[in-house]
Amino acid sequence: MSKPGYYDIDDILAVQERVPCVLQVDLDGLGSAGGGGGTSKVYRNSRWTLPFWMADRLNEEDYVDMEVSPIFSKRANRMYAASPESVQLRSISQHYYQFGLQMGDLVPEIPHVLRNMYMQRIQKIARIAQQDHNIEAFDFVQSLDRTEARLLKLCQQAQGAIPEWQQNKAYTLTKTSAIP
Amino acid sequence: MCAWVNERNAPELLEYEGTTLENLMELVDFQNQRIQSQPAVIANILKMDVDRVKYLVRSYLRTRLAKIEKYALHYTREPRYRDRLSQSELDYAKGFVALEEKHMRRSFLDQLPPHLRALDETTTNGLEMVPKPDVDSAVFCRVRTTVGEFQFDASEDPILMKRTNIFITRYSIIRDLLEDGKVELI
Amino acid sequence: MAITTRQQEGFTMPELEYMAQCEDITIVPLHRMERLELMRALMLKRSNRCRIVAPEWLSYEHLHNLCKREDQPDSMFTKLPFHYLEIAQILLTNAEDDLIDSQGVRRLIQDLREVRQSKTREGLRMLNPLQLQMDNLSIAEINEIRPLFAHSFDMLRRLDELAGSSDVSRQQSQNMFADQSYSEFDDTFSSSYLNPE
Repeated sequence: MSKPGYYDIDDILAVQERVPCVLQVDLDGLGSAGGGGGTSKVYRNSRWTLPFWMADRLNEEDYVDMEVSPIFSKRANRMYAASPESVQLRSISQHYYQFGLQMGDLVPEIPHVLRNMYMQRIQKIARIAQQDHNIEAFDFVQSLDRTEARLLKLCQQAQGAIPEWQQNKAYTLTKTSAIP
Repeated sequence: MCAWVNERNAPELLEYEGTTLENLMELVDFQNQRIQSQPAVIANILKMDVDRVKYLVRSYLRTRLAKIEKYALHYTREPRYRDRLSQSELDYAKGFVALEEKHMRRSFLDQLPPHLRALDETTTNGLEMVPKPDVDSAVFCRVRTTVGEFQFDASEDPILMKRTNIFITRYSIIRDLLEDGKVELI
Repeated sequence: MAITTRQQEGFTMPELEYMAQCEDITIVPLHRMERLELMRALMLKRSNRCRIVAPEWLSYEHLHNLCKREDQPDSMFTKLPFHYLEIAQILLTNAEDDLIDSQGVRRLIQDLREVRQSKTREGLRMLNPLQLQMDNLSIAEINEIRPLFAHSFDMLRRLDELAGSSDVSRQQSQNMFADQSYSEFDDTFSSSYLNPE
């Protein structure tokens, strides 16, 4: 993983996560976009949930007041910290870490929260990659977010390479096959 | 071989090993000529040598091509990287950039208003459209000649780097050591 | 794609085998002893022109001792050739008849590998976005953990940057795997300049 990339599809998807916002101005003609209740007018202090990329920009320009996503609320963070390995990260957000990285500027404890979560969970990912599957592992694998799932796949490939080669299943690099 | 391994592991494009390659290819030519006049055993050994060298050179060049394709625009623009490309690599990179741009324009950019057509802008929140290698990314390195006390970070105590020690660290931290041949990537 | 995605995440095992074949090995040709590169030895071996002398470390005795040392709690990685897994496998496949107790050797290599794997998992706990010393790991082992360690390192680095490097706890020592037994000084620096061991 590298810095956020312009063409990185996961970074793009991560900022689609919605965040709660409070509107700071009255808007006319945008009623259909959110809590306008059918009229074409929306008023100050009405609540919207917007994709992060939109909310962030509107927040900067003071059209809305962006709040912390419930995913990273104090309560949620406390709850996850108790047993990081059993959190169903995937159902919380497919892009938990990448979204967190984007939100980090706004919520100071995010780096700490993500770090704990990540360090705990990669231990288990490492164990699973080295061992054969069992039921418990299956549940855990189902709970991985995209960053973790991709990591697990890479680990399994790398771990599998040696036994594969020892059993002579790897593409053997002989003088005839290396040179067409 | 060391150049190949370093190139494979470094996030950015390294100096082109032109002279080494030329020497290697000369050797291959020379050995190829010798093969015919040798008894079968020797000929086999020579042929294996030639094949191994050919593989090495090919993989080395392909590794560089993969990086060039990934960061073509950046490499052709930055003089520091331009100097690291061989002439044919530079031609390849330029051609690649031109093709990519042409493809983008034909596919959709020409239908957009002119001010949205750029391919090399930086967005308001600092996101750059031109992909660049991440020189801070993790690498494994092994110390070739003892470095002594080495400061990995200004705020940390220095660490002794002795021959054969292995570290995982940021590429940018050991880049100078790599250029001096004091460490190798593994 | 000029190289495969798998190659972008590290080396393939055949590529490591390719590198390992450049390591020297002792053979017995018809009469006199010689040392030459593994690939040539294999060629001679295949045409029955030599016998390969198993390296000293590839014996039941030696590996057995290593296994015991490796198994001790809080121990470093024991010292093995950089390409030990590849060389062992190549010789076990192509020159089994030149090894004494090849079955035992094969089993010990496997045991050794498993102990070392669990040690690298311990190392993962100490990963931090600056540096981690992991002396005596072989290249196949590094290649095996490369995606996990490299991607995790990069993730921690990004979190570190986000936190502003000030308040990040760099818990624990980063040098649990530093090889203290290594005493060969290079002449680049006088030993007085170096830390006393």
